[in-house]
Parts: sequence; C-alpha cells; structure tokens
Amino acid sequence: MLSRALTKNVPDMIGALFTIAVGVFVLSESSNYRFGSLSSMGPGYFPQILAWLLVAMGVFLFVITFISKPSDSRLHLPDVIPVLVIGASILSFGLLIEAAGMGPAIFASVFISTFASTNINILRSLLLALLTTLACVVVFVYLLGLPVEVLAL
Amino acid sequence: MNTSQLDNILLGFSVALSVEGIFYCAAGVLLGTIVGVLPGLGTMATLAVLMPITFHIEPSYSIIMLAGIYYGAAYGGSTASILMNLPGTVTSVVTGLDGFPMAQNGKAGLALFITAIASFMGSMIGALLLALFTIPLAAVAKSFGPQEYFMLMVFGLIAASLFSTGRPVKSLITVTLGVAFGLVGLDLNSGAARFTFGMPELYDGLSLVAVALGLFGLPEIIATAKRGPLGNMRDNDVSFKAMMPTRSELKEATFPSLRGTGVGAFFGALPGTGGTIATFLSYALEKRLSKTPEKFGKGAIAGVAAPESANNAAIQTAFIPTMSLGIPGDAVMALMLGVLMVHGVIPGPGVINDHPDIFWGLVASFIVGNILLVILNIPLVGLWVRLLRIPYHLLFPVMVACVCIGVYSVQNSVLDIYVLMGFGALGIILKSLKFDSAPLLLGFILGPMMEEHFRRAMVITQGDFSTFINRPVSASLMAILMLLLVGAALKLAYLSAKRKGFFKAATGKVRS
Repeated sequence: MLSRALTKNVPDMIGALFTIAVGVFVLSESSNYRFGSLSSMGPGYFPQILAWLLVAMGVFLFVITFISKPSDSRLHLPDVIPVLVIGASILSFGLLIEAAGMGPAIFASVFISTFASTNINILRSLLLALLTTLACVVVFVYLLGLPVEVLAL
Repeated sequence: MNTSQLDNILLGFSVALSVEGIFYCAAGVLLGTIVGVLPGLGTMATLAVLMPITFHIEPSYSIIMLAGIYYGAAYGGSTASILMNLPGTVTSVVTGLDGFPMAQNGKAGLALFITAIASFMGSMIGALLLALFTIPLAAVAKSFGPQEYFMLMVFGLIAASLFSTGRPVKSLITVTLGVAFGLVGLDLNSGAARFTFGMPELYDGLSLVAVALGLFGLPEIIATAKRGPLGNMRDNDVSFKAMMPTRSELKEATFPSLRGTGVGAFFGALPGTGGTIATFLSYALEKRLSKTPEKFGKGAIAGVAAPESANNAAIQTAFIPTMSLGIPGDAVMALMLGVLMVHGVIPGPGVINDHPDIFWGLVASFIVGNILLVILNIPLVGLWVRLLRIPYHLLFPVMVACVCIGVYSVQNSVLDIYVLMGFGALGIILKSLKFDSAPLLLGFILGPMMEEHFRRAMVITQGDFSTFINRPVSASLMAILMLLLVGAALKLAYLSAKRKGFFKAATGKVRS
C-alpha cells in the first residue's frame, strides 16, 4: 500500500516528509531558546508555533496524498548536468571573489557555466568569459563604484 | 482634497518628470518589455537581478524602475504569446488562447494593437484607483493596532496560498517555510541569535537578494541553459497598417476591456489574489457574456482585450494594500517592500505622508511609463519580434555573472554566495516537487513583521488571545478567513469524494 502510494504520488509524498523533517528541525533548534509566556514571549515562542504548524501540515499533506486517488504526477527532475555545472560556476565565484578578486571570479564563473548548454565551443566560451568580465568590471567597478578589488592576486 | 495633498501630487509629477525619473522609468519599462517578450526570463528573476543596483539609487527612482519592469513585462508578455504561442509570463497564457489563433488567421498586427490599447486602458484606470483609494485606506489604517496588522498579514498569506495553483496546503507549507527562514538572525526583542549557527554574518538575517535570486533566478537560468533557439515563426505582418482595427473591431474590444479592468482592479487590490486569477476570470466572464461564445479560442477579440486589461489593472491596484497598509499581496510586491525597507522606509500607512515623493512619484510614473509602453509596443513591435531570435546559450552565462555580483555586492559577503546556492537548490527541489516558490518569498518578507505584531499584541493584552476577535476589523478578517478555509476544505472533500467514485467506476469498467 505504501509502496503503491509512493510510486503514484511521489512529489507530494516527498514534499510531506520534507516538511515534517524541517518542522522537527525547527522544533529541536528552537527548543534551545527561551520560550517565555504568552504575555511575554521569549525568542523561542514563535518558532515553536511555526514548527508545530509545519509538522501538522506535513502530516496533513501525507494523509490526503495517501487517501486520495493515486494520480499520475511523477517526479519531474531537472537535468543533472546544468544543475551541477551552474552550481560549480557559482561555487567558483564564491571561492575566487576574495582570494583572487572580481576579474578572475567572473571569468571562471562565466567560463564554467557555458558548459551547462548543449551547444559547447571552448573558444567561444573563453571569448564570452573575457568579454563578460571586461563589461562587468567597467559597469560595476568603474561606473557603479562597487568597493571590490578587480585583481587581488 | 486639501492643498497639501495637491502639493504632494505636484511633487510626485516633479519626481516622475525629472530627467532621472524619466530615465529610470524608461529603463524599467524597456527592460520589462524585453524580459516579458523572451519566454523563460521571468519578472521575478529580473527584479531580483536588478535589486542590488537599486540600492545605489534613490528609493523613489528605484521603485519607479522596478514597477516599470513589472508592468512592462505584462505588456511584453503577450507578444510572444500571440506570435508563437509561447507565453512570456504566466498571465499572458490567457492572451494566447485567442491571440495565437488571430495571428494564424493573419491578424497578428491587430491582436498586438488590441493588446497594447487594452493594457493601456487597464493600467490608467488602475492607476487612477490607486491614487483615489490609497489615502483613505491609509487613514483608516492609522487606527490599526498590532492585532489588525497581524490578522491582515495572516489573511494575506493564507489568501495567497488558497488562490494559487495546485493543492492549497502545499502553498501554505511554502508560506510557513518562508516565515521560518525569516526567523534567522537576531531576535529584535531579546537580542538572542536564532538559527545563526555561530555565524555572525547571519545576525541581520538571510540576505533578501540571495534568497530571491536563489529561488527564482537560478532555476530559471538552469532552464534557460538547455533551451535551444526558438522555433521559426511565420512571417507576421506587424506594419502599422495591419494593426489598425476597423470601427466594428474597436467596438468589439471596448466593453470587454472595461469589464476586464473592473475584474482586474478588484482582484489586484485583494491581498493574495492578483493578476493571474483576474486574467482567467475575466476571460471566463467574457465567454459567458458573449453572444458568440463559440468564437472564443478561435480568435475572439474580446478574448484578447479582457484578460490584458484585467492583468494590467491588477498590477496597478496591487500597489493599494502595499502602499497604504505595507502589506504586499504577492511576491513581486513583497520584493518592492523589501527594497523600500533596505532604503530605511518603513512600510505602513505612514509612507504616503512621510515619503510623498515615493508614492506620488510612483503614481505619476505610471502615466509616463504606460505612454512609453504604448510607443514601445505599437510602432516598435517589429523590434521585439526580432528579439525572439536571441541566442540563449550566450545569454545565460552572463546572467550567472550578474547574479553572483548582485548577491555579493549587497554586503560584500561570501556567505551570501553560499546562501544563494542553498536557495537555488531549494528552488529546484520545490520546482520538481511541484511546490510554488512565490509564497515562500512572501512569507520570508512578512514573517518578521508578523512575529513582531503578534508579540506586541500579546504584550498589550497580557496574553489575551480573544483580542483578535474582540476588535471589529480583526474579527471580520478572521471571519472571512474562516469562510475561505472552510470553503477550501469543502472543495477538497467534494473533489476527493467525486474522484473516488469516479475512480471506482472507471476501474470497474476496465476490469469488466
């Protein structure tokens, strides 16, 4: 029965479990904060209400998904490659922005991100990365005056 | 109207008609038109990308520009919808129902013209209503205590969830998740650090820009990355001559536009409903009122005029609760309020009096912006048609760079880049689980205000919960809310009962 419900209503089932998990996490973390009373609430009061709401709604979603007719809504996963490539591209920006400066950070993130497309051409990627870096440096550093170092090597 | 109000209106026009005012308004509507035309680039993502830039310009101009993007995208969204049946925005889906058949019948020019005029009409009437209703509403709101504000926010959040697509409980979950993310940072009352996990960078809370760009920008960039060139479109005649409607065609569009404006203005002003519902409802209304309902879906002029005017009127009136009460009806409005808060403007009924340049400047800019949009969308529409051939594989890497710089530049914090990645992952997960991310942002922005008002109400009344039903305004909000919830529950029960019966009958047939 459970396996049948899971195969038929994957998004809602996972969503419900995810919600309950977040609720439990918020509950456990906010139990470290002073609860207080209704007339003088501590920092933990409101988070605990939210946490119980999340758990309750997660359970509710689980139950109605379980009892309602199995629908054919399957999980629609995004393509893995663009997700990983864009993730790597942003990570490279985060790692380089303070270690190497804005120039290298933009160059690396643009260059890496071009591989998320199916239409790949290394030379064009290099050129696009170079032009984007130049344009961003001119616009953000010289025109808008952002206080970041272009090159911090 | 007293003289000081007249002075404020004049002040507004002086803001909107100044060189900077016209520049930022034009920049906003131009950008809006571009992202509206291009399928795959959404309004939310664009607003989020540009948000960091607006921190460097005056608040009145930043709101003028961001609003311009919002209603500019509404104009532009219909173009791709009509020409290629690829709606650029959610609300232009309805316009394509009859706009695309019109284009197939060689009437693309006429459809674009009707769209632009209906949008203009909806916007102008909407802006007039905004000017008329905001001040009285703000005056009423002056007497509101924390109880009313808390109930209004709860009302807005729940209404937004009930009227969104899909299962209402899923939207309620995303709203609550958003409120929970809003908890991160120092608690204003006690100074306790909550959910910061020892990172002082999080004391001010999660960066709004990183959250918004992660939820809306990154999933869109990833979807754009695998997008190939758009299919070739047929040659449409979009010359000026082809656009001009005949007298009877113009007559066919007039009343639907007016009714659409009414529907749009009403639903736009209600917190939580907004443009999408208004477009669908106005289309359904026209179909029911029409003497020739069989023409709908095959190129009915009313089917283009009504949803477009409704959509644009709703955008304008959505500013009524946002500006008078400080309560945003949807995620876009929440983002606008977020920008104002970054500039140190506290949302609420005081905004209009304390910052007349912002409110009246915005109202006056709607007139400027909509005139510019008519120019952009009637004589220059050929330009946008060509824009549809843009190479997406060169566009998205540049967007990645803009997103990273935008997030980093707000407070020069690397942690924000990782917050961006985290919310990007969350956005993708929510999308694949078919949860709507927009309520999350609404909850994220409203959450801290909600907690503040809730705690204040409880302090004032010494923990007396009945204060929410002892005060007339808050009690009526509570009553409407209960009706909405009961209605949603009944609908759910009815649907599941019907489905179950239907299911049994269907399987019975298959097995026998």
